[in-house]
Amino acid sequence: MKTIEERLWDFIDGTCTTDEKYAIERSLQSDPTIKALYAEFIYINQNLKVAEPDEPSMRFTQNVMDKIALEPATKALQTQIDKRIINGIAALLLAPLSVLLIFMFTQLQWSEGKWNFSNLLSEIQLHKLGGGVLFEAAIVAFMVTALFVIDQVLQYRKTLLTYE
Amino acid sequence: MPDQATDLALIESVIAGDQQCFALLVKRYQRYVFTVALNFVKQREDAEEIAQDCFIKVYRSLATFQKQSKFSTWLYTIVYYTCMTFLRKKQPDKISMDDEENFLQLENKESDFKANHAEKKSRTEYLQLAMKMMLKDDAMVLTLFYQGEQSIEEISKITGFEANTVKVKLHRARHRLRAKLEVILKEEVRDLIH
Repeated sequence: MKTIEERLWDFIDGTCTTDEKYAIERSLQSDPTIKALYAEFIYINQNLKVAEPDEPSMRFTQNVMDKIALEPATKALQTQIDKRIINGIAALLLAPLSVLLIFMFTQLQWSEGKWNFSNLLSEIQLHKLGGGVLFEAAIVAFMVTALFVIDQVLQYRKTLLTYE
Repeated sequence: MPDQATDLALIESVIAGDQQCFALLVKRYQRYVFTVALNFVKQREDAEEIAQDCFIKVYRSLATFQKQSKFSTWLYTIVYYTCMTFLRKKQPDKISMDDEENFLQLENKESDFKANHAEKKSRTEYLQLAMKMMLKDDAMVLTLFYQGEQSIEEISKITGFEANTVKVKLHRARHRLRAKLEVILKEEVRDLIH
């Protein structure tokens, strides 16, 4: 249940419903106490609207611009996030993955009854890719790099979302 | 506002390499940013440092501004989070804005007021004095709503509070402001009589 003060402020802010608006208008005509309260609220509202904000020091803008002069240009920020670099990283990550998938599919026996995960792994002859240990090391390095890049991208997106 | 170029036009110019256009943006908003910061920290030096820091953050991330909200809403969001970070660093145990320090601040301000009671002030000045005596939370909502010209929904976006919570906070802030104003005016009348 809204108090009369809340209903009056809603009326002043223009956030009340049509019914509430008519009810307040009727009260203002019939009740001198509400009318006096309304006049007081209007006075506060008008004064708050015209209240001057505080002034920082005279050199404020100059101080900001002096600090900005030491910063790299905003435009340069855009070139740092060059799409070609992102595409290059993506290609670097996707190329070995594609090679691996193609290799896996060429190694598979496509006959019936062979489709389960353990069969799939046993069938793939990883040594053909240059030796088991070397291949596993490459896979681990690939996974670590992929996780690092995903982490960087998520952190960057989080920073943007905080402010936007 | 002395310069008629829109915020978005100025932002485009800054991104295109015209650094001086950023000075126009700073001049346009510096008083509002400073006032919001002053609601949080009270010390002018701290508020000025925060305000400068905010504009530098804005400059650094201007190219990432996606124009989904008003520039001022985006700017005040940065100001709000910068002030909160500043307060956390200064008072690690007191993150809430409804903390005891505000009441101590209030007592100090009243003492200042009593010391200067002979000075005649207009009612507008009393209103500004009452604003300075308010809780950080209340002063921040009032400043954003009236001086920053942000809607309840925009303040909700800036602070992360629900729109209904902002509405309640705004009502409560105006109620407290009115109460403080009454105290100040009664005090003034009493001092004039004696």
